[in-house]
Amino acid sequence: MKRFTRVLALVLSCCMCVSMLACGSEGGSSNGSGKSGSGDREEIKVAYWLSGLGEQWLSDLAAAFEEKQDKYTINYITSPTATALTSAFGMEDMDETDLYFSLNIGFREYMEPLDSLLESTADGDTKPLKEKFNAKYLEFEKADDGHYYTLTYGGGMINLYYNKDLMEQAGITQLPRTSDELTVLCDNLSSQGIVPICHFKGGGYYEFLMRLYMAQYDGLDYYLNNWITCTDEAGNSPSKDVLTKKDGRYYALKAMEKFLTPDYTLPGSTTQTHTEIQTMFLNKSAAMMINGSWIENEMKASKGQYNIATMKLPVISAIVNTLDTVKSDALLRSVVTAVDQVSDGEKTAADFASGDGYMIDGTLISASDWTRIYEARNMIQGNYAKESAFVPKYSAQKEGALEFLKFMYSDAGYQIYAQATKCPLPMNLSGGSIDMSEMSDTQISQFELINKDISFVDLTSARESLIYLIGGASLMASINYVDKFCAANADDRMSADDVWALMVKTVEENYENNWLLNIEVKKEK
Amino acid sequence: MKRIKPLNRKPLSEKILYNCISVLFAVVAFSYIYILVWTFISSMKTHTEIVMNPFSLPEEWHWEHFVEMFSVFKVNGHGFFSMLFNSIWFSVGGALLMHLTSVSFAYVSTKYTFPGSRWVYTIVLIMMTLPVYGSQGAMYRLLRTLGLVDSYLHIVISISGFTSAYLYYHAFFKNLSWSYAEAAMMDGANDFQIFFRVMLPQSKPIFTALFLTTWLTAWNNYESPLVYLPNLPTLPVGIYQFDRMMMFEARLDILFAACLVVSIPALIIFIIFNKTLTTSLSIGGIKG
Repeated sequence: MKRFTRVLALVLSCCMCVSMLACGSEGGSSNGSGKSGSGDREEIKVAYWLSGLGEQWLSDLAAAFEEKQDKYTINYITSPTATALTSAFGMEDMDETDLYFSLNIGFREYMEPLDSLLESTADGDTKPLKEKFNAKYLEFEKADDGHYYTLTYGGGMINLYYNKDLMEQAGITQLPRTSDELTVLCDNLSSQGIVPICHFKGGGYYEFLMRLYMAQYDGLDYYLNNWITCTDEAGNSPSKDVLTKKDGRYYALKAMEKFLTPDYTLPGSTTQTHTEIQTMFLNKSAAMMINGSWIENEMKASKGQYNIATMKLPVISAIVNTLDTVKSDALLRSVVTAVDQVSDGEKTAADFASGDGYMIDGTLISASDWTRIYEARNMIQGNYAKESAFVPKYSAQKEGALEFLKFMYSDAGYQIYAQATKCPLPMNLSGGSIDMSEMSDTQISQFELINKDISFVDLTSARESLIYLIGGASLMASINYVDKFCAANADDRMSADDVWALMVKTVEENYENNWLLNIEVKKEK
Repeated sequence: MKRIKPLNRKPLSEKILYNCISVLFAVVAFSYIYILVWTFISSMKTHTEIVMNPFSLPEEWHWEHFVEMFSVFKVNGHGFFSMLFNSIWFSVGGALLMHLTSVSFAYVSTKYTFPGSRWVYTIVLIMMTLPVYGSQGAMYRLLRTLGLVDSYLHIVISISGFTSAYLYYHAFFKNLSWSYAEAAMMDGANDFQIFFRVMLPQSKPIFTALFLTTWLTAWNNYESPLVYLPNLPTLPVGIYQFDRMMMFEARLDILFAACLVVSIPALIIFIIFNKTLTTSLSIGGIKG
């Protein structure tokens, strides 16, 4: 036994020595480039929420930034838990972070305005940053005081991804243009023994679809100025009426319940994680999945050979309720086809123009209907404003942090970012084009989409009402409608009308008693 | 010839009961072993195989995952060995400091009389029953001000006599005869020599058992290091963070390899000291 104890002690000592050596080799640096904040450079402390984009882009940008100038060095920490990363944000005496790349947590009173950064022109660029960003995206970043406090560093665009092989196998040649056509496609695939669609636990990415459908139905203006700010027609904010109004959300629910059924959904969709379901999707367990530009980057480590492509999310069929001259889904599909031809540059709007309106498949539709459908079809759902770069007001290295951001959004910086993530930001270069030689067709399609005449429907906005931000209200009062539609047990299943009634009831119960109180309590704090 | 009946033959009902309990224990034991085996098999598969066929054997045994793990399993620039060092430092060092202070504190408060010595036990009991929920914010602020957040010196917060271990040591020393000390005194030993050479060695079984249970808890703890040591991750924090990262990265194979490797030290220690743990622990307390 004594001999054994000695051997064990020796092994443990060796372990300890190796560990200590390993610690030594890190040199106290937390950045991926291995450079420590030594010399007379000033250190910029960066905190990064490690999401699907990975760490490479930050490491590469930091190295290039350090190379470019000799005043600052970047030292970053990462965490896959955003709440842990930002836990000290706002505590001036505790928080040493100079620049956050994390989920937008609001509280702009602690954030440095980025207006001057947006107005500035980076070295090597030919126009100010503000002109490089998509104007509609910037609308989501603009706070109600007219300033910008956050800018995106990640996120992406949400599309309907599909397995090309499965679609081919089913003989599908026309991708769905409307929500009803999507249901028909699901039926077609299902009848051929192909699982049409999949999602992951917690509701998948359907909130993106819900928001898009809502914006398509009610218009982007309503979504941005009424829903996001929770402002009713009389100008009251927050207003319970906004939360209970039978708006596009109701029609989105009605559209979703048609294809979100246990018959069309991959088993396990309500219980498995998104990485697991993505793996299954990529391995052809299901034909389609709502996902974001990040999917390939996120799954690259699985080393699989995939044959996927992306399509725009379809237009909600119920939009015809709001139109004067387009009253059937068949006509709506034809208009969407025409709109796509115009967006893709195959034709111009003038090719369809006829008198005061547009002639589509022999039917004259009004100009206002054309405009509504054009806007709806070219709305892209994104979550750019959710993943934000922001500089704490109390940062000791504000200037350096802003310099780093300026470099990141410069043409040179964006090239580095794009090569590492293969995901586009909602911006364009001031000159030249992104090197896409190492990108897949799907990734290239995302960069091409950014160049088109699109508008964003973002998951969040700087103008988001406090009722959502800290009150507790949400799009559907936190009801997981996806699970209610897809419940394996028929007794647990709910219809869109039931879900809507439950949502209204939840709002009625919580609005005054909890959500408004939460705002008051947190304001006092 | 008449057969002689065994005297203490168990009735059938008792036999059935014992067998049922044995089966139950076997199932529980198997479930623990199965998790380990499943983790090992999963670590040998590719990420896709793990997701697509979670219960199948690997198509190809990927031993290289255990090598790859050392380069992929990284948190904030800290690799496996760096996290191993942090784990050893905070769990072994912390448990040692805690038990050395607790045992000393218990010895002094039971064997020596000083103003308030009679109240020590009550004070410890009261302190242990005080609710600590909601104190983490204040604790964080305090430790941050003292420079103990993200610091190897964080280990000093383990120095505390006011722990549940104190109660065990208190019971032990209370029942330990003072005549050992008197004999040592007659041989010329001073107070420190009596403690370190006579009394403390007698507490070796209870000390070892308590130390091991504390070490095991500290070794597996990820919540406190996650909050107080974000830049000095321990192995459990590494596993937790890596598990979170797997939401965004398809490397379940490496995650399982890391889980298996991280559980090995605890398994080895348990196998070696399993007798000490089980013989020193008895129903209702710890044997001296």
